[in-house]
Amino acid sequence: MRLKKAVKTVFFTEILQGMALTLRSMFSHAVTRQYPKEKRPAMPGFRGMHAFVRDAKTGREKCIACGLCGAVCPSQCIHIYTREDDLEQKKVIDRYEIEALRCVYCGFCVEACPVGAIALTEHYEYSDYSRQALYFDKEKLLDNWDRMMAGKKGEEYFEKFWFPKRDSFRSYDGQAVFRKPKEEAK
Amino acid sequence: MLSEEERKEIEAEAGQYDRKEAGSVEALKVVQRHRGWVSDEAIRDISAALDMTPDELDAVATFYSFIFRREVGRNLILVCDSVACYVMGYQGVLDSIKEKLGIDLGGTTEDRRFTLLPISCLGQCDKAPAIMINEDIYGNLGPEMLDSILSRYK
Amino acid sequence: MIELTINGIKVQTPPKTTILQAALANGIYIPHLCWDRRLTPYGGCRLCLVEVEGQKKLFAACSSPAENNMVVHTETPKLEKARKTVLELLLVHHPLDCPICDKAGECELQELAFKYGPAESRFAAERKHDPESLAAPLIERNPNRCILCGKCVRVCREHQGVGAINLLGRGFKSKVSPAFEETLDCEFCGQCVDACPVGALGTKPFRYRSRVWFLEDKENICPYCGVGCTTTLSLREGKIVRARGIDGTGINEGDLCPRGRFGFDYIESEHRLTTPLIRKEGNLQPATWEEALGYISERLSEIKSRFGAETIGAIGSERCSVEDNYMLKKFMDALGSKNIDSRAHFGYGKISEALKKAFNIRALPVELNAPLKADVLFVLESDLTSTHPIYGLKVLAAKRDLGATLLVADPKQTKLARWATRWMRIKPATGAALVNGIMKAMLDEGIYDKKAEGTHGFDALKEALAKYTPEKVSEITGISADEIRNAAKTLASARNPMLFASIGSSENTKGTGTMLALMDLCLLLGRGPEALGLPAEFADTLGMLEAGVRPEGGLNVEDMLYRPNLRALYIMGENPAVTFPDAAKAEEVLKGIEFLVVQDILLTETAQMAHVVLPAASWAEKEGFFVGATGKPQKFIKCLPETGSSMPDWQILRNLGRLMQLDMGAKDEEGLDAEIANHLSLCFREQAAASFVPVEQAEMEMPDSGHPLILATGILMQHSGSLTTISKNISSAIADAYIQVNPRDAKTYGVVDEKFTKITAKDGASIYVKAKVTDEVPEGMLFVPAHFAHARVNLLTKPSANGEAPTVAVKIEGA
Repeated sequence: MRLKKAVKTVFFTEILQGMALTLRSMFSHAVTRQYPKEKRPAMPGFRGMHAFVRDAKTGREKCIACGLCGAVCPSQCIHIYTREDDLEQKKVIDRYEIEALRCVYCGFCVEACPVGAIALTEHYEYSDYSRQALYFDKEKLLDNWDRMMAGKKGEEYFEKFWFPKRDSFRSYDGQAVFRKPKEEAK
Repeated sequence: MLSEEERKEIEAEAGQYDRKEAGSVEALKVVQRHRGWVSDEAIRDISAALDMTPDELDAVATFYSFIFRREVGRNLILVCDSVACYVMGYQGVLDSIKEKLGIDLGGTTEDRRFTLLPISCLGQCDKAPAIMINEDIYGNLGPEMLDSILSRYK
Repeated sequence: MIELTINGIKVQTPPKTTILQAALANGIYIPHLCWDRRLTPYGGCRLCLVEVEGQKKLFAACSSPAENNMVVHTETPKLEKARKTVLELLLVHHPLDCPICDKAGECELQELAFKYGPAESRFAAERKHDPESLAAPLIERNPNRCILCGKCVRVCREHQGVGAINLLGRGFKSKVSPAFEETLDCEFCGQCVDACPVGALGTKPFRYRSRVWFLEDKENICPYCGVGCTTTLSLREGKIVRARGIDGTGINEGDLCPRGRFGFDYIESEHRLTTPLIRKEGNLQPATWEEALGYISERLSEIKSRFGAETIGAIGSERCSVEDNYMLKKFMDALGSKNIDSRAHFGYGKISEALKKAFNIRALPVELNAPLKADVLFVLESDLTSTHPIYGLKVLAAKRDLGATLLVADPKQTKLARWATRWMRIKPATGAALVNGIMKAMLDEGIYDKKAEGTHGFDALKEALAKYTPEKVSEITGISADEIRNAAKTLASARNPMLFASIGSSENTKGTGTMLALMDLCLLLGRGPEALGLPAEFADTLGMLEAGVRPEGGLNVEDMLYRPNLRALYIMGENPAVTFPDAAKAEEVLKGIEFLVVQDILLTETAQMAHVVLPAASWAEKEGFFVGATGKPQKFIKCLPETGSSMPDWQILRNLGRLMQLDMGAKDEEGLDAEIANHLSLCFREQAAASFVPVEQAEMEMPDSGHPLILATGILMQHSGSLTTISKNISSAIADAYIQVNPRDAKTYGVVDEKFTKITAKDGASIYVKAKVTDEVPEGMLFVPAHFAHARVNLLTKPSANGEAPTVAVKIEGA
């Protein structure tokens, strides 16, 4: 044992091993990223910045102001205030606010939404000079959608990553049903 | 306003019970006998006479098919739409009546001669299809027989 | 007691109860939708099915009586299946619009569907497509969501005694609606909304305001009438968005009237005062608290030193807390003035005076459930279901549910009159004569209680009643002598009779005499004050009186407001220029007062005449005690921040007192609570003596050929004083004054329904009000509610000289 150690010490084997690794690394690709210049693409299903789905037909938000997102939110960062629209006698959002800095990105709000009105985009860059910029209201959330999910991306979003709820509503037209897990329905 | 005669008859009917409202169906029938149908105004008057609220009496009146809350014609055609009649050609009879009179179910001819209504079962399944006009029943009908039957009622 | 076993647990239940009641009383939940504690069982929803051992079929627990040795199971696989099917069938028609339905989150159907509901329905059927009914004020109906349990219909008819809605039609088409599917026009008590297990009925002010899970519920004491109901307020973002009655809470056990349910929004009125105002160069201008209080202190000290403290007066309020009134009294004591009174002078003060004479007590608390124990109930010229709605319900319940005899003497066809066993339609303001006649009839036939003979004043009464023979009384009151004798017999034969009356400060057909007559009758029946139901008018009437706001040795309201006695007047939470009788005279005197301070939540008509106006915090913006008709102190709590720089009344007075270097005692709320504790432990029942005080039917202002009609002023169920008229909710139901005219009078005097009509009193004062032609009022009588400031009804009324009914004879002209 002692002899082996002595040999190792005399011939600097460990150093040579180290140098070999260094030498090998010199010819391989870098694993780090030059972050601000070079962005990491989000993986499918990534849960990033919030957005309000803009209904392509009406051009307005899809939200029906049911408040389920606010009810299910574990960090209670969604605030919804509703009122009756005087003209249409419909329920509309008065204010819709998400405190993004308090959000834990669990995605429950997206899951709870009965109409697919809220989405978590792939955007993850949050740095800003004020907290206010990360306190989203309805307009900002709709703007997020336009910026990040417009077009095909948005169309595919719910199909791909969220349990497509309307599939389980396979029933007579206008019929009373409760949701059933997908497997069971088949 | 209820006529003197109506009021008397209603009071006689209602007087048979401990509570006046128990006579509500009879009271409605009294008014219907006199006027042919029961208007909103009449409901108000009868309910006052029976110590009821108008909505209670309206609930009774709208429950029974044979308390008419709309003006009806002089003669009432009831077409049975139960299973036996349905199988035996109810549709043909009904269509034929509709065509002859130019009215739909629930409708009244312009000259107020006929009102056409459906009915569940007349108990004439052995003679299906059957209709009833006023108090008379006609069975084993075919569309061709209707002219002569209808002409009996003015 | 009946003993039965439910789910293996032995439970006991009183006889004549159902399985459901036995189970619920013992903490075993059986699902139910159509059952309500207050109503007769209906057995409509079929959800409360239970299994009874030894019986093949399933029993509906709500309508099956509990029997001895019954063995009941409430959770078995068979029942689960049955309930599942029932729910499935209910949901065939019920729309799944829970995301926008305001009931979601507290919907009984939703909860049961979540618990039992099958995931998918096996039935295909048509949905209902009725439009929502939003035309009526305050209450919205959505027939599509209705499951036809009929609870609303039954609450309206059985409990509330109204019957405004019913199940119209049959089968699939049936729906809950007013007669002829007209727009709902009812009392708007909203009891149906609380009863509805689904979202088919809702209150419009809450429509789409918030999901229920975002709300914070707080129980508070209603600030309006004397009953002192608990109303559950739902708060969001520092605003009250709705008020509910929750079954079993408070002395009202969950019942509420329109005021308690909808009247909360006066707090957010845009007319609220936010800062003190001082009159400078003729106009009221905003000022700081320091300026305002400094100015008041200066002027009051000056007036006191120049003219003496006895030229300073104060008016307290039956709506303010005990603390506020106590502090006002203390302030006046410290100033050295005894001139302190309130509006109660025109209302409960008259009852108080009668009580003092007959029983030597100042106030008489009522027990809310006492009417339920009575077998004969006599209501004298009082519309209890309007003045004290929840107390009135108990009177109704005694008659309807417990089979008591209800005698009502009233010229107006009130709700009680409609339900009465016998309705004596007397002429207005002849209550005292009627009671005298009844007593005379009892004396004549010897059917009074013999122990009354030992009561002081019996002989005097006998003598005084000599001329009130039933025939004579028949002439005065306009009802037959036999009716009077019958009433006497019914009352005399009662095991436990109760007599009811109330005097509102804006009612003018009753006086001290009427109340004394009623008390004499009570004594003649051999009963003590416990047989009297004389509820105090407002939330804090008794508390205010006990806090010392009553004129003992000082000037009363009449001396202060109708005669120029004062140089300075401090008014807290009162609006004499509108709500007091003879408003013109009061206004004139108020204008002549050298220094007028008004402390209120709004810039009222009186405040507009003031030299200094102080903004006070309203109910729900402060905490304190109310002592209403029941005599029990009830704490109301602070739910909202104060409006602007307003402060609770007692704090304003304390600060002012300190500034004037007066000894105001308590420094903070705890100290104050300790001080008023003595005033809260009321000993109303101290009954030193009982004596007969014979009264005559008061001389009234009689109608003559020029002014042939008697004008009665009074209270509506929806309104309370002039305060509720600033509530937008309540105004959406009844926004304006109207005058009720009998159809025959209308014909005689050319009055047209819904048209403005001129009413003129003998002194020439006149007002214009919309006419409502109805046979609710008899010929020769007009009725006008006194709540509405702009109608100026009080231009016609007069304060009575001697506490008697200040009736007014008027003429009426169709415009």
